Amino acid sequence: MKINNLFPVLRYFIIILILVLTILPLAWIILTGFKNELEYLHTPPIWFPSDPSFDNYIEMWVDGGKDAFINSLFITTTSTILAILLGVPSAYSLSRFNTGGDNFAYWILSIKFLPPIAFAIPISIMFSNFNLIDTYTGLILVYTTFNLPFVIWILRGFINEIPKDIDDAAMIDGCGNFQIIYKITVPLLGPGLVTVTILTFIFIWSEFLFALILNNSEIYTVPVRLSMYFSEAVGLKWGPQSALATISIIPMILMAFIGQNYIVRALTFGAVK
Amino acid sequence: MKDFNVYYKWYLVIPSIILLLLLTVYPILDALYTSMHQYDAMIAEKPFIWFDNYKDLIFEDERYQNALYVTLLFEVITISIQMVLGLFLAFLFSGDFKFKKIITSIYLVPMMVSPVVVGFTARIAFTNDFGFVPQIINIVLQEEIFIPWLSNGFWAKVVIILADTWQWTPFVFLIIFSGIMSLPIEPIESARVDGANSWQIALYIVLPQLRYILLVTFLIRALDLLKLFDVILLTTRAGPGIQTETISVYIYNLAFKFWSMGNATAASFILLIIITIFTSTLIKFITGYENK
Repeated sequence: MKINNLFPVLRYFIIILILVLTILPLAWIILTGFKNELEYLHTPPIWFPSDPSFDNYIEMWVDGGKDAFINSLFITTTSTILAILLGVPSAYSLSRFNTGGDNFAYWILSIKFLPPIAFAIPISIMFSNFNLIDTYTGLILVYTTFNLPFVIWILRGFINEIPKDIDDAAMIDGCGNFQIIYKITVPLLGPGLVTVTILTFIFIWSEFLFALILNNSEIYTVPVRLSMYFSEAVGLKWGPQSALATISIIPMILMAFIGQNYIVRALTFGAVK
Repeated sequence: MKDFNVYYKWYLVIPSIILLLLLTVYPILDALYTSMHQYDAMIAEKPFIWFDNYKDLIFEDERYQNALYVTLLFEVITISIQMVLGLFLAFLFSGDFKFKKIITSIYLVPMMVSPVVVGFTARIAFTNDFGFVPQIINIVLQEEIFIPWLSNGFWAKVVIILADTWQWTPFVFLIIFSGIMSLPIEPIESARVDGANSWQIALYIVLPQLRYILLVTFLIRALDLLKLFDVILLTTRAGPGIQTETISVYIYNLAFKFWSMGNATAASFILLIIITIFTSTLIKFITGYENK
């Protein structure tokens, strides 16, 4: 459907303006990562580094950035895989057998919207009793659990659209119960599963609140490392900070482009297809 | 599929259920229990006090009232701006133009950036002397004006609203845009035959059909904004003073700065109730739409 030319004259002007406004802040961060200290603390601001170098990247990497990146990568990858591995059979069960009824499915979805801060306090008390603060296990448990609702709900919607006859046919051909899921359903989910996996990865990669509360600065992730830069002892280290910000967003943006086909559907929880 | 073991469907969900019970249901019950006790991390005795923590917060704690006000303000203003802009852009993009697909893709980038990076960017962008926003404003206006972006309560709120708008308008746009694209073509064609112009079609034919999508978008954004935390902590640290302190940030401070767990859990429980009301409405719309 299209509505012709609502804003015929202004249209190109507005579109270009929006593009510029969208790109400008990110361009600034990326450029700042290549400036030297004199340039990123210069009045008036200098846009383009006169002698671009990777010095900020090296400084950031040596000064905690490497640990943050490795922590984030390990925690995010493991949690994403676990959420998908647990989420796919659950979604299948909810879709095919309506397990627990509609209200059970709605309950699972509702968890997605609840405020993380409400869980963070009791979980932090619980984790300190079980020595899970500052551990990979603690954060992986939290991230897997809190992303399950999203994974289950969205995949349930996708599985609903795969005809049940296919399952029956597979069974007649001698497919076992569980084989149906990973031999028939998973391949048919295809791009939908890719989008859900990518979005789950991005959600976990960006998560800040739990990562902040469930560590005492030993197992810190990239977002926590970025926030730590703002302590007064550190001063204005914008170059290295921008370098860390840059390497934390570029992979996410590239992944988002790959998964963009079903992005609207996933982000509206199936309300818009 | 009668051959299935009746328990099979439950085996598939049990691992997920155990995790959800352990890390979402149990913590909520634990928080409810804590919120009814005088719970100070420094004092061993924790007497049961019914709803005194709740009463304290609602009737006496001015900082809590401030946090409610700040959150509500961000909620109303930010959503209004984003819905209007998103709708405007969706209509703008519904026509044909060159490079539309690429431009739409680029426009989606902000939502993929972590809120922490958005907050960090806003912080350095709006800093006077070194930030590029004051510089650009001076260039556009052709005169030196000084705006106390991060040191004044009003302007600090503006910065937060701008940061959130930069990040989430694309989301609103994208949903409405997909909504417009999925509408049936016939009513629009026949209206055009009847001589309606583009504006009339947009207002009287397209807009009413979008009301479901607009509501869902509104509710999703409202829920996110009730939880606003990351950007605040990175950009203004709730400052100046407590002028940008949202509910989530205040609860965080109560729990992890003042170690006042009783009040913190009471405040988070109130937030939980508000969010549950929004959520059940949202789920009704999502599932209603699904079944249509």
